[in-house]
Amino acid sequence: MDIPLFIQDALLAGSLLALLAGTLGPFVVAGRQSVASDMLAHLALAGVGLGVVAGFLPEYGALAVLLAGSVLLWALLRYGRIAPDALAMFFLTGGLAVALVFFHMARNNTVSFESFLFGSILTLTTSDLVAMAIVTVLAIGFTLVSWHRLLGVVQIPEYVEPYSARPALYHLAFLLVLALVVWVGLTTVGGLLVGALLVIPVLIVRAYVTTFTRLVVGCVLVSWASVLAGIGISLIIDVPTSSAIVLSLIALFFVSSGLRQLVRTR
Amino acid sequence: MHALDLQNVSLRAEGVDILENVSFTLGANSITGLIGPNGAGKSTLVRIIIGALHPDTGTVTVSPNVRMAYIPQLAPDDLHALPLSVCEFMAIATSARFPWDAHRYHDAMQDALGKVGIRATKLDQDMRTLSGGERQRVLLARALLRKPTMLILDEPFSAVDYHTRGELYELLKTMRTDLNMTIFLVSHDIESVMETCDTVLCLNKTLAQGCHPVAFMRRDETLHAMHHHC
Repeated sequence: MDIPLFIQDALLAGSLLALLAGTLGPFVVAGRQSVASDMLAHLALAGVGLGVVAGFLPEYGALAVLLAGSVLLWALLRYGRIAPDALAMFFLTGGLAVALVFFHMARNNTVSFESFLFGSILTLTTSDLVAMAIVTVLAIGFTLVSWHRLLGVVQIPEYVEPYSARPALYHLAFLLVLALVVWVGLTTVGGLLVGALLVIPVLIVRAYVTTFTRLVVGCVLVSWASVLAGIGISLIIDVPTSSAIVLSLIALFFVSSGLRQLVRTR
Repeated sequence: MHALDLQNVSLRAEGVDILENVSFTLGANSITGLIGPNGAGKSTLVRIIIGALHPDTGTVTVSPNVRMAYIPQLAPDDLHALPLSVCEFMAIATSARFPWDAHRYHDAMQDALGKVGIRATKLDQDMRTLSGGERQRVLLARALLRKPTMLILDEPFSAVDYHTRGELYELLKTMRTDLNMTIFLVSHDIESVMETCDTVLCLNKTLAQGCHPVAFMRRDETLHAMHHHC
């Protein structure tokens, strides 16, 4: 049986996203920066709007704003005097407000704002896939080569400070890589749902493993399973693919928690 | 030969003096304790010594042959902590880059764990399953991986029970003798500090000259500072 090209593309993009989110997710949760991905995703929506108004591809507007936004977020976290949760409000509401202004200005344009909110994994182009592959290689390569430095920096920066590891720069690099993950998520499962792929697999896997490396491998596998299940479900019944992916993850979480509870009570 | 020399170190933050003209030296192979009430500037001083903060004025001179290792306050038990093996935790202090590089340091890690009384088989154990005392020893072992000549400890044993604390202070004394180390430790535990250290410095923004630790901690201004920060 021949698999239609758009499904092959969706499977490839979903697999890249699972690899990215599964690898970065444990670092995000370890650093208690789960909300950072949401903050960046809301900024990315402003970037999409900027791209539409300025007349270039909205995806690249999002990428530019994401990279600039991650530097801004790093600087505010490091030098600002605003609590991280209060800072989150600025990014979450500000990003959306700016995005709405841009889309209002370009209301006669045909670009769908909704496709960036909730993704459009079944309508990807070849150039989308090439860009995703490049981003994946860069992000995974950096994470692998900086594995122990990142682990120290996101957990307790003081642990690495006297070892001249330049923790501040590693934190900045980590936020830039997170921005790339959000960018890939923006076009596949949507800006508002990518956080689920970063966080929920960690919550599912952490009870079953004893090392961080196994946690990452487990998260990649769980993310991948949910992406495959989500794409499969959305082809069988008429539901949005991104919703099916996230709901598959949530279902896996409850099944896993329930099984563990069952084993514990026996 | 001084291992560390601080001269007239001062720091202000948001218009408040955190440290004022702090000067002292650490002799090689000495154990020096730093005590003071909450908010006295102890942790700030430690961060200046390890190079994480720069003073507004004053100088910090570390002898060129000193290799420093730092042991921060132990994070309290965290119910939301993620899996992390002892090996992975210790590898953070090494030059290991890729995840699979950590195994190159197995022998050194086992050796360091042995020095602090932890069995080498614990290397693959999840940090979440260790007791507070074991985790503290792993922190010490991790510092030893760098083969330091100076250990800086900030409230190192505040999260462990009385018995374990005594053992860990004894371990510090052994490490000073066996590994020829200079040790600088910040603590609230006056009794253990006085028993362990050659010199005790009393800090409350500025160093009290020729102080007696017990008398210092009982002074009105110190008690006021402790009360104010509680």
